[in-house]
Amino acid sequence: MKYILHYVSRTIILNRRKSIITALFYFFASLFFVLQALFLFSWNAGNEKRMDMTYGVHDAVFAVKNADEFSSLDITKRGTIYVTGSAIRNEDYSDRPIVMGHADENAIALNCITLLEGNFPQNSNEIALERSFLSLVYPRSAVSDEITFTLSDGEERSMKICGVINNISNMQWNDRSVPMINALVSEDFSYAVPYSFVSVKFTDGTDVDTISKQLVENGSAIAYTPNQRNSDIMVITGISDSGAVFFIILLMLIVTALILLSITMISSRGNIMQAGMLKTAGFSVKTISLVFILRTAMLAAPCAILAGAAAFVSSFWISDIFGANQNAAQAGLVCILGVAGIFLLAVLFSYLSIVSSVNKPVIENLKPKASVTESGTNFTSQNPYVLYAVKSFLQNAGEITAACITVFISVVIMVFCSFIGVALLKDISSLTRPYDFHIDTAYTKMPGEVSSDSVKGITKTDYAALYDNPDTKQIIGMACFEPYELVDETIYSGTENQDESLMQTAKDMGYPDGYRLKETVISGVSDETLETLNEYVIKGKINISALKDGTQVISTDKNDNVGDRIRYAVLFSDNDEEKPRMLDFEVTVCAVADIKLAENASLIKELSRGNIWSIDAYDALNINAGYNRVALTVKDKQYFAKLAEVINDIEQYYKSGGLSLWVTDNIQQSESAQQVYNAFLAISKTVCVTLGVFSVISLISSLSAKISRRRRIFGALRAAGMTRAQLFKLLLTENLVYLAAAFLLGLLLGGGLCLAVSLLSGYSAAMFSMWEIAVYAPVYFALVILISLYASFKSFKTSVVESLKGVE
Amino acid sequence: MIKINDITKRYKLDKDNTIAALEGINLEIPDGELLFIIGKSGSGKSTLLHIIGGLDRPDSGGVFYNDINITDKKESELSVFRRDNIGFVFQDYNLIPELNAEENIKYPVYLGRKKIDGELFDYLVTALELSERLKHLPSQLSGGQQQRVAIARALMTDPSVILCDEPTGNLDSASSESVQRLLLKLHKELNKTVVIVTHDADFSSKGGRTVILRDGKVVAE
Repeated sequence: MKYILHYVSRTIILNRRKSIITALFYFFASLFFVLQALFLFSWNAGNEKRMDMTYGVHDAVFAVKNADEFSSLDITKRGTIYVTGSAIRNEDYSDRPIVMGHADENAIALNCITLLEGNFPQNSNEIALERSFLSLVYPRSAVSDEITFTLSDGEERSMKICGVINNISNMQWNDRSVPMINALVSEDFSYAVPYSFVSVKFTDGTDVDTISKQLVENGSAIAYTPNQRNSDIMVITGISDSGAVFFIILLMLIVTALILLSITMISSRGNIMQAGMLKTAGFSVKTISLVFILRTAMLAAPCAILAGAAAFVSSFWISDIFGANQNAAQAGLVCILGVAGIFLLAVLFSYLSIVSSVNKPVIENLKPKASVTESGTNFTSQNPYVLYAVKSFLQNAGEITAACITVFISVVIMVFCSFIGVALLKDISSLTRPYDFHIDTAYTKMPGEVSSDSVKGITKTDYAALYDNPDTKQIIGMACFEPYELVDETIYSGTENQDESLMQTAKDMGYPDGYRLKETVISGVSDETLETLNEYVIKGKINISALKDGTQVISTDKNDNVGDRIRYAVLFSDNDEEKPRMLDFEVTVCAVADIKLAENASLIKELSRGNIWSIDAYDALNINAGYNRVALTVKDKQYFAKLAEVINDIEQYYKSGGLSLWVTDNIQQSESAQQVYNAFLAISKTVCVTLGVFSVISLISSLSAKISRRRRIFGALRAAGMTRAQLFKLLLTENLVYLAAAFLLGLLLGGGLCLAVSLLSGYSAAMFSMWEIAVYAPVYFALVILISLYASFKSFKTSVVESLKGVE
Repeated sequence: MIKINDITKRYKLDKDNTIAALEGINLEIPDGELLFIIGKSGSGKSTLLHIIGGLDRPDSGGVFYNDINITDKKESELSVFRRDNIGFVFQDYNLIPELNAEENIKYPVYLGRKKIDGELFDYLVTALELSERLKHLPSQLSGGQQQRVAIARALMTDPSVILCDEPTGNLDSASSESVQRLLLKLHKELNKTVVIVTHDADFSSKGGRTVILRDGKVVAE
């Protein structure tokens, strides 16, 4: 064993260059795989953390009128109470409200809130801020500093920062997000606006649903949402996410295995000859296998360990990106398992490669049969470079695979990442164009926060203020109004997913049993938007006057046909206690529009939830609906400020009534979408660069190996008068043919993949960016030129005689 | 006429020691001569052939082709000189595995950007009995056939000198016999200067002049 180790060490040291390239391969393979795994695990852990923060800690969220009264109840004393207060705005960051709250000791013990620095608030003058909020809104302040902000009643208040707490995700109220605190205050803190949400953890064994119902019935709480229900939904998603994570990791393992296979293939011919020499020196088959496995192990093990260590260090940064808690043990395990997997794969491939070589007769080892044994092509050319390159390409499938597999994989991944990038960009542009303002009132239906009037969304009056206001009507271009709680009811045979109360109402109105509710809305749009939609009509014709009087509608369901009748039941509810009242009417489909195409063309994202008619149809049918989403475009940008002013008035009106109304402009929309895009870019670029480095090493290694093996032939050609320039041209043509094939195949498969995803996801208009390929391709081509240039220079540094002897 | 003037070639063994591969070699090879260089392994015969062919440079002395001293030429000039004037045949054939026999034969002409001499090609293919094997890859040919392809390749550019380094060294006796016969035939019919390095005394006895090398010196002619 000692001698075998000695021999293996000597071969590694004496073949320094080859060993370094192989080691780099193993290093990048391990790093690539483990980093991907860490990215995916952190992403999943981040999701789980967000889920835990939202659902995992508490049993239910209550909307309350009097938090003090609620918290003093015996039932809640059995558990932990977590309270949020209303928003308090800071003057400089009016779009970043300070949401205050206090947590009792139990909440802190439950790890709902973790202190990162300083202390928890001890008195009414102290405040602990969330880390990201502090760095964003008060970037120059630290613990012990004083901050000043303005309360919503206009009072200015100064408080001392006593500590920094972890970032806390928002709570959920059914399917909506309720702002969670970003500033922790003590119980002594007093403020005119009462606490409105209470998140409760009951003692173990409590029947959450029964007790919560009792609390609502006895008036202690207005409403509640049990976390278990939401949690169940999220758990299902969580499981499917974990499944996706493992699936992607498996794909990455296959990619890495292919890369490892390529390096095994590159060195396999040399291994055959070495096996023959060892056999003649008296080594047994078993010992020879051991030699090769040991050599792989000695190269792969330290590289895998180094890569694992590097990945482990990166895991802190990766966790941060995805907002996951850094779990050193889990990251360590992922690193260890990842590098161990790659190490075992490397050893396995090495073993498989040598098993086939070592069992050959010695003479076949020493003089391996030519790799090219069949002509297979009638191609011919009098151009020596083209002739050689094409013949070499057509007759060396194995070597081409080895040389180009990483380039191929790299291009496929690059094309796919580019495709996703383009799709995301389209998403961003469809969010930000063509509307200047997006007004969303979805958050207004928060029981307990304000009176039940809030459920109406933007009221008819405010809609008039926007659209019927003579000052603004003329300056609004494209507009889209999505009414609140307008539900269409089409006839289906199924009975699943039915809303009981609505179905009962429908039954009362004479609908037979067996209807399924389709929760879509009719969006009212301006004439200009209707005209734009004309481009996306696939059946029928838009009839603007019929769309204005509410007798016709544009369907966005491709299965509908012109002339189909759709019966709508419109649900209104003036307050939560009252039974909803219904409005029943029927409309005819005048046209069917391909809404996906319209969306992809960045036009009317807001309309995707339902069918479309004119805004005027609501008036014509006397539908007194509020609007929970409004998107507007200013016709002429010089009136932008004027519209902004009107919207601001509406916003202030809502705010003064304690209502939440969210207005976002294009910049905010694009900023938020841009964040997602940037995160994707960071990940995709990491993947592409890692794979790029991989493929560069692979390309250099395999092409160099191929050139090196043909030293004698080049020597003979040099003897026959081949000049250095000619050798360069020969190698360049050959390498370019190889590269072009790998690149084109990569583009083909990548493009196919994009197409498949396009068809499945509906992103029919999204394709990969040719610009990125235009940047990517020259890098490889430049590399191939350099390799060819280097090889030809190096070849001519060796004398012809040495080349003929095969001396390096 | 090739004139070899006082050629010396030494190889470094280590820092302080060198070994003489060739010492004061003087030879004259008239045009159209068939010359055998024979000697034991390590006698310097291949080194001498390489220097004659401009593949290697002597430490001192010169190789003159009709008064042109090729040892003074730059590497790029030597490449062109070899392409136009010399054909090589090696023990290992060194054919391009991806190209068939015909393409291997024509390849040096393609590299020289010259027109294929169809008559010469047909003559060589017939003379070397390769007509049936032209579309075969080197891996589909026997050793003797591969060497015949290599000989045709060496002659396809119509050089005035053919240098053969152990052309039958890798062949069985039947193939060796055939290659010897064909080389002698081609020398006779094409009237080229042919220099053959061999350790096969039988081969050298079949015609032409023989030079015997021992320890880097000409010991007999």
